[in-house]
Amino acid sequence: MIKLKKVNKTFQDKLILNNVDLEIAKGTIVSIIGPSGAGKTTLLRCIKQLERIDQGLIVINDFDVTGQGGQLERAQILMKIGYVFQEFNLFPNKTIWENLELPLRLVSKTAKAEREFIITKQLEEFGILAKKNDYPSQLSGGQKQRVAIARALVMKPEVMLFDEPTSALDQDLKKQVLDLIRQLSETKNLTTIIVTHELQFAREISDAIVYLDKGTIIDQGSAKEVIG
Amino acid sequence: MEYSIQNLQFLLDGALVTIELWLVSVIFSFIFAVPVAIVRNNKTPVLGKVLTIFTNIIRGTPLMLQLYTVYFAIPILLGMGMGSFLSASIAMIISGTAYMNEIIRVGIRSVEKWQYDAAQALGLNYWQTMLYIVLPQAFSRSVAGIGNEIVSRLYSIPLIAVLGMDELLKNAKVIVVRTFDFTPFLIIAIFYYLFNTLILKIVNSYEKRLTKFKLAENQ
Repeated sequence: MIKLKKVNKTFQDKLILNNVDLEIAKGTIVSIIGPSGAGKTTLLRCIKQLERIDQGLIVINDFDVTGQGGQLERAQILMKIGYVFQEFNLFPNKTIWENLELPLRLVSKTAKAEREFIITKQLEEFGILAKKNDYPSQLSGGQKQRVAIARALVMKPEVMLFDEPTSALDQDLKKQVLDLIRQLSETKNLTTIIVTHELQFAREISDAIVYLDKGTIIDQGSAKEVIG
Repeated sequence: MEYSIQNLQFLLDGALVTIELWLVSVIFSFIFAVPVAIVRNNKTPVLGKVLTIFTNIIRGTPLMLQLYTVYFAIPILLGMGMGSFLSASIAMIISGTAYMNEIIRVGIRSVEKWQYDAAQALGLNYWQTMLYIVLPQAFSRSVAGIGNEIVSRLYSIPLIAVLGMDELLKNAKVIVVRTFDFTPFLIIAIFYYLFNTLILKIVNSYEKRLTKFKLAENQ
């Protein structure tokens, strides 16, 4: 369960998030829609703690990740939140294998044999095992995205955050991503939050939709209620 | 014949001093330059400013002045003498650190912010991000500048003659003055050329290794 209570965030005196209250139930897929500059990506970044909020609370699994206490518990909770960036953000100087191995080796301190098993399985599942020694620059947009998702998944997340997952993809790939996110949510019981500006995509994939404008939640509910 | 061997031995002694000082200067300058560049880049309030002022002063003053300062002023301040080699080493390391940290700092700054974001999102801490993500790319982006600096360190070494040290160029000059034969200059010119070529070959192969991922892009 993810709860946001009266979250405010400003950048250089400009209010980006304004008293955002939101509750996301475990295992659901929620899309955040809204015009450019509405604060959608900032909201996602605040949940992952890539940005510090100015006021309010963000509670994940009953733990306040915005508070000062329990740094170890905070780190463990944040480790279970996977983040897939709009531009994938794969490290250009690391091979696909190394991109996936880095968090397992340095963050979760997974043993070498287990790392190899997890990465091989994940790459195989996504059909990109043959690319394991390639660098990100050698991959297509769709392959990069699968690597970015795989990199988040090897950490066995309970929550997945996707920032504009379809913006860099063509129609065929959008369909594939939609199927993939849906399948992940179902098979791994992931809580999924997707920032998107594509209404059709949001309608097809979401259990609930949040409409954000100028940092304020204008509407939220089922796809039918919000988009119509 | 004996005369030539003596001259060659004299040149070789000078070459050894040159190479020793060059190695000490390059290795320690690099070791000190990396943390200095990180601290300056990190905008650590007081220390960062102090290191920036240090860098600007060293880069803005002649190496010969730094050699004199270390050789004459520091023993007075500390109340203890220092040998020529130690003085020259310290001055060369200080100078090298100033130039190299500036090159590395620019390399670190060139690594895009989204890479820090990605590292943070994966749970890497600051030092893991620096060590595994930022520094390898900073080096790959600044390796040409570091290579130039390594080469220019070699050319700075003849200045240590002002401290009375017998390095390669000075020894060659002594022989030429004594014999009116310019062959030693030709010999050391060849030495400098070959040594530089070797350094650049090593730097280039290291650059290729570091930028493997960029080469892959063009395949």
